[in-house]
Amino acid sequence: MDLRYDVPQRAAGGGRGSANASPALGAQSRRRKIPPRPADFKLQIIIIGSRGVGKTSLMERFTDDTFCEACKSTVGVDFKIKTVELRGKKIRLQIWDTAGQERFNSITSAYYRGAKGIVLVYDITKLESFDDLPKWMKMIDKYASEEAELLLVGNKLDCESDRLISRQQGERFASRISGMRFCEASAKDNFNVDEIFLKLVDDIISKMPLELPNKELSNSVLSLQPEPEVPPELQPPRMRCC
Amino acid sequence: MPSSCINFILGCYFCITYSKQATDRSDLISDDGKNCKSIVCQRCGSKVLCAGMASLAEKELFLPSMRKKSNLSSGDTSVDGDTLTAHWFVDDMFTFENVGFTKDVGRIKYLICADCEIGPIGWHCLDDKKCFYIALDRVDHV
Repeated sequence: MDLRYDVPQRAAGGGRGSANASPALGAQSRRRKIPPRPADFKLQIIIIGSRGVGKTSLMERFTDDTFCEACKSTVGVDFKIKTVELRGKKIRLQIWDTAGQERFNSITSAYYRGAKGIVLVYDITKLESFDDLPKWMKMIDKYASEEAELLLVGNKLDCESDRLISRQQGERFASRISGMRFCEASAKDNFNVDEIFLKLVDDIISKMPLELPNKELSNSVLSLQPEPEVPPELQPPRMRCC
Repeated sequence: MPSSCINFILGCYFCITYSKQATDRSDLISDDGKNCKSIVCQRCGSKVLCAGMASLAEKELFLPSMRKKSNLSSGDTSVDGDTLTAHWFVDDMFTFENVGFTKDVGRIKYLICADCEIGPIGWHCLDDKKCFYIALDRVDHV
């Protein structure tokens, strides 16, 4: 999977008078002196969903196993910084994949707290992953910011013949939650995957004030290791609205 | 495993030789001590850092090998890798264009390519949240 979308092509010599610097920088002549423009937005996105629905595949690109087995399977990827350009803005995404912590209450609130976007994934061939959605919504309601953009993803579109959840069911679920978008995707075929993130990011930044300072996230406030917290008391699952 | 030992020794020798030869890195460093070229993944070309965003830092860091299967989490001393001294340093993870962080190995997170996931290409210690290193020998400069 390649999330690079429109990775800025201002590569060579960017800091020293790059000829094709982004127009979003404006016609400031001092850009010859200053480093390339920093990101306009920094957003944290989390990917949640039940075990085996393909969250990690949505974040990771499929690779052959020649390289760093240790990183991939033994240690695993914790999160990624990805840069996209959208609407002339340079946006840094910090994407967290919660794989391995699929029990609802094992994902600490720290993951949800700072998230501007939440991708909730189910597997169109696994009924229980769809049935789990209300429980995930409960966690979102409890911990995530109300402004967080929500995107429901029915994954494994490549397994159409084993489909148990119709597209309409997914749509219906999403339509009952205010502001939740819905799409189906296949991380395996890389179908709709880039679009998922771009759509989410677009929704997020379209809500943001134009000249938002870059200080939203920094190392100091970002918890690399979400502090362990007492698992939340889970109420019986309920929808955000009926 | 004699052959891997030999490889390791050869690798170390190569690295030492290489870093001695490569101490002249003036083509990579601008007057203000920053990287004058973009830093990209050696394998897939994914951009890790824009030009002018990182400064050169000397620090001895052990990075497990990129190409050998090794068990990072075992903590045993047989992990194949290199001790590298020349790194690009940034103090904010959001300076990176694209980069991946592994889960913790002790107090360390290794940095990998965000796209093809080759790595480790860099190093971060949880005890110092303002230090991120990318090894010069593990990336390309374009």
